[in-house]
Amino acid sequence: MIATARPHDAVFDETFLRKLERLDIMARKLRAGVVRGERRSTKRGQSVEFADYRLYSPGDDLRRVDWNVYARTERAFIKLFVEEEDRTIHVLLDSSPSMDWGDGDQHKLTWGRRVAAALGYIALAGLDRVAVTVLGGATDGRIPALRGTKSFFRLLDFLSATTSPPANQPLDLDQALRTYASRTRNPGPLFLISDLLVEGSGKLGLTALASHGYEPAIIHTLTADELNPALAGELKLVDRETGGVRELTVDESALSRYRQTLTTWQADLASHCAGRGWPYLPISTADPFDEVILNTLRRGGMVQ
Amino acid sequence: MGSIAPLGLGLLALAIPIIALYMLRMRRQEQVVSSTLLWEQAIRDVRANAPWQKLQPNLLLLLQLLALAALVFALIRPFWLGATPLGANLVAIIDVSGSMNATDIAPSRLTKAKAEVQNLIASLPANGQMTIIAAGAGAEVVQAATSDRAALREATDRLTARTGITNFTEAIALATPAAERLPDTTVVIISDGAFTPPATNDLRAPIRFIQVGKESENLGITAAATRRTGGGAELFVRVQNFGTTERQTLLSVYDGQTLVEARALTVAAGGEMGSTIGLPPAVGLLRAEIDAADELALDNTVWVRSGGNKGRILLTTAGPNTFLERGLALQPNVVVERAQGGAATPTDGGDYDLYIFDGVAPPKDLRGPILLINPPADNGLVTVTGTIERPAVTGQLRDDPLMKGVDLERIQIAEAVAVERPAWARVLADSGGKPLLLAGESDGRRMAILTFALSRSDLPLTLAYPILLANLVGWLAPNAGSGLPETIHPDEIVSIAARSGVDSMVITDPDGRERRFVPAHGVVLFPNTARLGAYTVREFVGDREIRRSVLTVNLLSAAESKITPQALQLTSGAAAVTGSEIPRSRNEIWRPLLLAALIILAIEWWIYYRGGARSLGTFARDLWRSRPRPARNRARKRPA
Repeated sequence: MIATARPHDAVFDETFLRKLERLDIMARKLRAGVVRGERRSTKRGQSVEFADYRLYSPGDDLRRVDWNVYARTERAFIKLFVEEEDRTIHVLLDSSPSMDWGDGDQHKLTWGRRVAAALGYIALAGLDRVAVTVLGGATDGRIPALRGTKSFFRLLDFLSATTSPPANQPLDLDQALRTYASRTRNPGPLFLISDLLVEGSGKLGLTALASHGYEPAIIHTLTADELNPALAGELKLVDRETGGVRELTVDESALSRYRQTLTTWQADLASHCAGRGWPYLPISTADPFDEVILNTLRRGGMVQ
Repeated sequence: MGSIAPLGLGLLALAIPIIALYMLRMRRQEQVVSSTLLWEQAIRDVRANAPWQKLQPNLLLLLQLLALAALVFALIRPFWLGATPLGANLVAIIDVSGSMNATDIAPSRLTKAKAEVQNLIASLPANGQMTIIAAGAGAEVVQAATSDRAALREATDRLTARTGITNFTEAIALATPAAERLPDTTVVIISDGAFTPPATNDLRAPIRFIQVGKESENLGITAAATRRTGGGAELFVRVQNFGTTERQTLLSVYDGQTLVEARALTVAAGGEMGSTIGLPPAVGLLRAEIDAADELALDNTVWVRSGGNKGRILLTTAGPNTFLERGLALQPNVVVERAQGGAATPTDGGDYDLYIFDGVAPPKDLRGPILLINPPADNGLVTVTGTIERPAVTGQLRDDPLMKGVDLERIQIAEAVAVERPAWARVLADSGGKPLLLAGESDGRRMAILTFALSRSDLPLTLAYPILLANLVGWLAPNAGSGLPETIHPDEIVSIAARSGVDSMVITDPDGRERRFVPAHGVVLFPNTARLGAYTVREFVGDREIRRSVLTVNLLSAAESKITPQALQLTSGAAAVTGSEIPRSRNEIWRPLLLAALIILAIEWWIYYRGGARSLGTFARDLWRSRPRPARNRARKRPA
């Protein structure tokens, strides 16, 4: 259905869309245990589901006074109902120059766009609103919150147009996350797709988001050669993001130290997120996409 | 210590860019990565400084500098210089004569002399040219002037010791134009001095003499000859002692493989001892040996042909015949022996080239050619019918080769024997039909008969007599007198005159090798006389051997046998010979240096291949661990 709907660019090619189509079926299964189209909100509002009573205070709608209770107790109580509203799923895609890395299908940003599209699709299909924001991109990074599966193509268009900024324009991830937290309303589940290759790994920004009521989930995306570099010899390493240069001799011991550092780093992030109840999912762009969306994300507690 | 190309030292400046490259670390390959964040955390202790770093001790740098140093030092061609450098160009005369075979310097003097020539080649200046002349029995330019050291070395290596004497006159004659062709030329003579220098020479160039050899003992035979005596022959051998101590030796004389005589000799230091040994009749090739274990073996054996190569004539006369003996004595290449007891024995048949009977009947079973003079009755050759008084020569067969140059017309004969002409004979001269001189061939045997006694005519007093005798001897004994010298020195070229009609000559050398020659203008030039010993010369007409003679090659040279090193008595037009000072050569060492550079480069490459550029300490540590390294690009399991 989706695959034939319109022509697509390289990021959302036909193969991807077919995968998404399969995801659609899977997504339906995922939704089967959930009340259709509804999410219980933490807010009290107008609905048929009773939530609680509270004392009347001047200014309250008289229509909502529970007169039966008044008759028994002679005190005016306001009947509170669970307010049902569609929630907003936030997807933040890191588009810093370091994300512009990897070949073909394993390109980090491409991968991130696909994951963002898949998450968006699942959310739209679940009648949620989806707000996708590209952090640090060259293009305008926001799209108004979308609703309904029909908006999916707008999401695709938006993601297709996303490009990485040229090299040497580093992204301050913490600052970007803080800004997002303060600007946007409707806090809710938030997916951060990033390689976290910045000083501090964006921990401060995530904390700021959490304090604003967001429920962050981190999809830590790295390519295979970042996980296991195939470098050797006398090298001058140029940082794609900052343009910084590091000269070093890469030999077996250096590679070993790199791998150890990486493991420590990921373990630290996992423990940091676990302590705050944030799902943390390290993935490699070499992993099969379907596997990641359908199983890994689910195992990581990111989708229901 | 010096250097042929000292300017090459400037190349050491190449060390500056090498060190600079190490300090610059320009060899780093630029590699873009997504982020250096993790690398920075991981490689804090291995971080390299850029762009200039402090020069750290690095094994590769050290090896490269070493290789550079070795290469540069090889290029400047360092050498150790001897006391006196020789001239810009050299003419080397190397003695290859028999005395250079002496083993007082192991393995031989010639080897040492060749080493000296190699040193001279090494000492040549960059553009210097060198000529190498080998002086043996003849002198030979083995390498014309060239600066090609490889060619010079090869020519020197090719030199082999000969067995002959030193022909130094010829060597100097060759060296003179060679020395004048190029400026600043020094003539270097490498020899033991065992030769006779030429009395005069035209050499203008300075001469240096490099003497090889040391004081040494040698006992040698320097003369050997046979001579006929009344009853047979005797051999004279002279043994000389060139050493400084008295020597005893055993002189043995062999006829073929048969020992003829052995005699103990005591020869005083520097003295000589002659020895005369009586020989039995009819000996052939003699070999005389002394059992001297000395430095030169060539002069310990001589070969002598008994009687040389002269034809042997057995003369049997009834009484003394002065005319005949004198006439025969005038003949070249023949030796006349008188029959013992006045009668020829039949056993002598094979040994003599001609039998002459004067007034005596030859034995019946004699098989050799015969000249019968004044035939007695019942001589077995012709029938005697009586005597002729005062015969006058009335007819001569003037066209016969035997009568060439002979005119008998005017001779006076008192009395002749009247004979009948046998069927095999032709009459060369007659008196009214009665033969006076007959000649012919019967059963392959040549015979001639003169019917009157020489003493009964005036023939011996005429000019015709020696000519007639020569014609008769020549015809009757064609195998006699090849004219070969009795002995020659090794490497001498011998000219062998072939008999007329000979179309091939086969010469067998002491090793049994046969060489066939075709005479040109009746002469064969035989040069292959390097080997000491007896050479058999056979002459053939078609397949028929018509003459066999023996040529002996012996050292027999006191100059060569005197192997004690001697000062060279030679002056050139420019300067006297500079003693026997041996000029030291330049010993170049660029080869080992170049080899060292290559080895160092190979090690450097190996280290680079194994472990890349690291500090000395790291490399030593890694070597110590010495564990097998995994392939660098092999995919590994991603850490969980």
